[in-house]
Amino acid sequence: MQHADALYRYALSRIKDHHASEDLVQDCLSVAWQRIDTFNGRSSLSTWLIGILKFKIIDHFRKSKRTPTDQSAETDETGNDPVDNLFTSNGAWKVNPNHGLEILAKAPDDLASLNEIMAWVRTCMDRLPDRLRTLFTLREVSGLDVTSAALAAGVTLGSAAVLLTRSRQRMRLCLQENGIQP
Amino acid sequence: MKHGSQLPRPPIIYRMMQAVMSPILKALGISCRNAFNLCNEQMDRELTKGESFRLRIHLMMCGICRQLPAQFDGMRKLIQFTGEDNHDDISCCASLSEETKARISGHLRSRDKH
Repeated sequence: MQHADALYRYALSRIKDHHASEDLVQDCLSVAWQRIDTFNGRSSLSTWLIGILKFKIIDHFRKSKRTPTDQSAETDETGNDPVDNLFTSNGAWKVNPNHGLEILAKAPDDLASLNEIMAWVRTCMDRLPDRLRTLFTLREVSGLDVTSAALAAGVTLGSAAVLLTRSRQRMRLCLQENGIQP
Repeated sequence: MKHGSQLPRPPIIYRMMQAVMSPILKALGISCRNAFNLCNEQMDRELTKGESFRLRIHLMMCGICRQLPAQFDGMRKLIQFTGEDNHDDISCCASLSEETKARISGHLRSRDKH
């Protein structure tokens, strides 16, 4: 059981649900227990277990959103596309798009070592609406292709493209408004 | 709160140039908004040759948008870093209760018997 807590933390950080995380850890360990003879020792045991858990998490998202829905019309609280506020009617910037993000283009690796900035990135991700966050996490954090992420998040492929671009816009804005200068 | 309302306006030179050029760029489909959308979309799919050409043309002549592709790439990297250490940090204090561990151990043992 020495890996159980780490698996639980991993699941909890992805799905934000205590009970579901516990169940996923149990499922993961159960599968690992059955297939321990397939573990060849080329990676560490914890990496192998996390690999199993990732599939369990994708299954969890897939089962909890069985019916693909068209979410492409999702907008912000006021009913507007947040990007509308950034551009003039002729498509020119109303705001400086580089403000607060200069270092992001130059040295993201350096930023990753700064806890305060990483905390802001997580805060910005947490501020995404549930459906956007699920899809965005599957795509950007778990590294699924768009089709798999859409299937797992329960959205249509067409909607997924729109929702992913919208998630990135929101993330950019959130990072800019909070500033990620070290 | 309106998104983006707290951000500073673009430099004056950009605003003066866009006052003249933006209707033309919009008509040609190579406005800053078009470029921003294309940079965003190319994170999920390969752009068509036409889209790629329009984006390149825009980035060649628009200094303020030139960093957009690198910013999107950088944001992806940063988010991936977040994911990698998420389970060690965001839920740093979370752990399974002893009761849950006992339940899981019992479950594994019962499977073992079968």
